[in-house]
Parts: sequence; C-alpha cells; structure tokens
Amino acid sequence: MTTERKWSVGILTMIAGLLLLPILATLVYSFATNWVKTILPASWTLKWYGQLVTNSDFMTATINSLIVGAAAVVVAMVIFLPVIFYINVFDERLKAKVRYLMVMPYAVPGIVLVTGLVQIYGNLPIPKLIFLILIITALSFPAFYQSLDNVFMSRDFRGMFEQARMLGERPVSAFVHVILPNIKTGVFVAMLLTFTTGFSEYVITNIFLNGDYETFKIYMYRLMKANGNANSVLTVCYFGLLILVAIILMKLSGKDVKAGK
Amino acid sequence: MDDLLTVEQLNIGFNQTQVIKDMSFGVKKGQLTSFLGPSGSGKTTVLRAIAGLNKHIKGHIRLAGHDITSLPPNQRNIGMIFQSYALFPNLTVADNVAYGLRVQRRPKAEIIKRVDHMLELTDMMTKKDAYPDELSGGQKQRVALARSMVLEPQLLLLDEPLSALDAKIRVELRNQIRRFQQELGITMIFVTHDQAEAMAISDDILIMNDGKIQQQGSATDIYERPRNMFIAKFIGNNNILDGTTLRSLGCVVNEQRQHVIRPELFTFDNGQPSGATQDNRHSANAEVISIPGVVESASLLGDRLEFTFATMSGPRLKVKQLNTCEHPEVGSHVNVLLRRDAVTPLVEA
Repeated sequence: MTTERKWSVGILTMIAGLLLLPILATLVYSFATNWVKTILPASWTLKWYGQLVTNSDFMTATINSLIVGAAAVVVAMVIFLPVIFYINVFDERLKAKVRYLMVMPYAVPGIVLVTGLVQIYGNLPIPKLIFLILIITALSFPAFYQSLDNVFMSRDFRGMFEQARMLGERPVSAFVHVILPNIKTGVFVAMLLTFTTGFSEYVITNIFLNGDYETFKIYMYRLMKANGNANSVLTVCYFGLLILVAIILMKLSGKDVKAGK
Repeated sequence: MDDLLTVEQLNIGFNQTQVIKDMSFGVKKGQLTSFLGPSGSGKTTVLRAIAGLNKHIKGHIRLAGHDITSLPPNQRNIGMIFQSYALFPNLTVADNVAYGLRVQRRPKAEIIKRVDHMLELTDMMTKKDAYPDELSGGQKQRVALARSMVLEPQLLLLDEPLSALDAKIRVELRNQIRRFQQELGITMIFVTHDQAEAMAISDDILIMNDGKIQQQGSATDIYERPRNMFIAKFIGNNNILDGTTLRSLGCVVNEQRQHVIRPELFTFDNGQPSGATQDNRHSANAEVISIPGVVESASLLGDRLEFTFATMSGPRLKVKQLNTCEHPEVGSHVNVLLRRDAVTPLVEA
C-alpha cells in the first residue's frame, strides 16, 4: 500500500468512525437500563423496545411518516420522471434553467419557506396534508433530479427511445419497455432519496400542519423530552427502517438488470 | 425503375433558421442511395424527417405512393439504424433482434425462426445470448442491422452507421451492408460524410450542402462530372482552374467558366525534358497537351503518390500517380501530360 493510499484509507476510516460512533452509542443506549458513569451500561434490557412498539402513538407516527414519504415518491415519479426524461433526451437547453430550480430549496431557509406557505395556502379549503406532500415532493426535486441526470448521461437514451419507436412502439410503451428498465438503478436511488426526505421532514410538517399530524420526527422530538432511552429506541428504529427501505430498493434495482454486468 | 420514396418541397426549420430548403428528390426501389455531405449539411435532418422523428416539417414525403408525412414513426414501416447503435442494454442480442417482432405480436415460433435466420445472416449466432456491453463496435452494428432488417421494412435508413468504427472494420462492414442490401433487395438510404464510403457502395448519391441538394447521380457521374464548385472541392482532390489559367497552360476552353481536372488524369512525361513539347501544347488540335514545370513535393498515400507540380506559367497542379510506376524526384524539371477531354467545365458556379 502506498503512503498516499494509507493516508486516504486512514482519513476515510476516521470519518466513518466519527459518523458511526453516535449511532453505535444510541444503539447501546437503547438497550441500557441505566448508563451514567460507566463506559458501558450497567445492565441491559429490551423494555424500551417493548414499551415503544406497544405504544399507539409510535405506530400512528410511523404510519403518518410512511404515508408522507410514499406519497412524495408517487408524486415525484408521476411529475418529475417524465419531465427529467424530456429535458435530458429532447431539450437539453432546459437543463440550465433546471439548475436554478435545484438551488431554490437550499436558498430559502425552511422557516421562511413555511411562513410563506402558511400565508398562501393556510386558509384554503383543501386538506393541508396534500399541500405538505406537494411541498415535500418539491423539496426532494434536487436529489431526485441529480440521481436521474447522472443515469441519463450514461447512454444514448434518445437513440434508444427513437429506436423503440421505429420498431413499432408507441411513445408511452417505448418509455416503459425500453427507457425504464435501463434507468432502474437511478429511479430507485431517486425514490429512496425522495422517501427519506418525506419520511424525515420535521420543520414544515410541524409548523404548516400546526402539530395536528404527528410524524415520526415530531414524535421523536416529543419523546426526547420525556425519555432518553425510548428516544434512542426510536432513533434506532428510524435508521433500521431507512436501511430496510434502502435494501429493498437495492434488491429491486439489482433484479433483471444485466446491463454492464 | 420507380421511386419508392419521393420527397417533395421539403422545408425544415429550427428556431427561425431554415435548415432544409425546398428539397425534392426520389429514391429508387431496391437501390442503396447515399446522402453525402459535410457536417451540418442537413443529411441527418432529412433522414429523421423521413423516419418521422422530425415533426416540424413542410412538404410531402411519400412511400410507395402513400403520403406518410403526418404518420408517426411506428406506422411508417421504415427501419432506422442509429450512429450510436441504440441497442437495448438490458436485452440479449437475440432479444434485441426479436424486439420489433414481439411488438408486432408475432407467434413465438415465427419470432425464433426469423431471429435465428437474421443472426445467421449477420454472423452473430454465436453471440445470441450475449449482452450489448459484451460486444465490439462492429458486432453491435451488425446486431442493429439484424434488428432492423428482421422486420423487413420497406425502407431502411442508416445514419452514419460506421462512423464510430475503426478503418478496417468500416470497410468490412460497409461491404456487408451492401451485400445484405443486394441479397435481400432492401431499399436503403445511407447517410455519410465519407465520400469513399458513399462511392464504394451506392447506386445513387445525393450530395447535400447548406440544406440543399447539390447534385444527384451515380458515383461515376458525380466523380467525373461534378456540377459545381462545392462538389468539385468536396469530391476527390481536384484541380480547379479558371478558363484563363487553363489557356495559359495550352488548353482551349471557355474562359468564363471554372474547370476541374482530376489529379490522377495527369501523367509524367518521363521521356521528354521539360519544355520539349512547348510547340505542341499551343496547337489547338493536339489531343494531349504537355505542360512543363518542376516537381515541388511528393507525399506517399500508400498505394498512391501525390505530387505538387509547379508549372512554368504559374499555377500549381495536384498530380496523383500509382505507387507502382516510376516517378520523378522532387526538384526535377519534367513535363506532365494531360488529355484535352480530361478538362471538365463546371455547369454551375
């Protein structure tokens, strides 16, 4: 191993350690009965897990977050995917404009954004949850776009789409049968990032819905004030759930994809 | 022979720029027609309009007498091969070739039979279970050909299909394309910017520039009788001389016109010292004129040598000779011989 490589591996290991340590500590704390003055907990228990899964608030918050995450994925797939395909395949000049759009969610602070949203949509006779899903979908656009943009640059998708048309396919069938199987990996990454954005959202959900719709993150915040151990359990569940979703999506994206094997 | 495809007054514009200007031409059934021209001349734009991939067009496109101008690509019965091959990477070679037949919902037994036949024809049978990423450029292009030919389209369009391949494979594959075209009797339109490629395989060539057809005809017609200055410059490496210059060299020609002399039509007069035929070259009746001068440079082009020959009266000539014959040294004073009928006047400016 060269010196440069040793340095690189060392720095990467250090960063990985820094990131993993709090998660590991949270995991340990979730199994601890009492952990105050010792390096490791004095004793271990599954009590916090048992308490949490039997708590109806936990289940409600989890389901609420799953609804927001899944709905954001569906909306993004229906709206963003065809648009990103069109931009990449037929009108690349629009890409420059899209870059401005991508900066928007980062340029406007969440609190400013939510104040504006309450002002504009707060009194409309349409369920606020619908607005929340649309807003979260919009916020996930940069991640969704970037995941697919990289994939679209990897092959001549325009040629493939047009070739499918020349072989007798209608536009929608050409997209479903030819384009979709070949952008599968990018689509699943985009879905995962959108789901994560939706599932983890806190600021907008809390203020825009005025606490009426308790999601996983809002419940987590509430629990943090009451019981540290239970909150650790919730954090572990949160990571566990996201890892599970990621594994499912990775399995799905790996299936049948032979290209580049 | 009837035209299978007729294009009438085709006009195509993008962003207020007229790319194709009032273009009309015909493509004969069972022939291989090439669209030849430099980059940006409009070849691919016209090809895509014929395929139905270019919607914003004016004019009429007829295939076998039917107006297909407004038909979508999947209803035209036209095949197309793209420069990038456009193979579907998630499908095997056999599945790529079978794709169009599956879209047409043909019986399974028929699909297998036709796909196997096409893979045999294109010599891809051993790779039928391979994925596109496992194939070489030439193999990919053969799969693309098989995929389009298996549908037996009325017309097959090839958009610079060989441009991404190396020189040796290009020659092999262009001969294969010609063989398939002749064996299966397919009408093909072949887009290329390579004049040698077009001349080697085409029955008919359309030379395009600036969105217009400059000349249509056989390879011989175009090579021997270029119509205008653009073609004279684009095809071959011609000597283009005006009438006055040619007269100064001893040719009796129309002084108002430009003239073309192909470099291979000159021969070195090795037996005569420079200037010995000075009297003959001014004779209006002489069939061969002799032009004295100096060999300025010689470049080896493999099977040929290209010389720059500075004439005594001023103009420099390009002279090409087969690399087999004796040729003069650089700096030597010699005469070049030229048959009077080798001077071709351009019809247009």
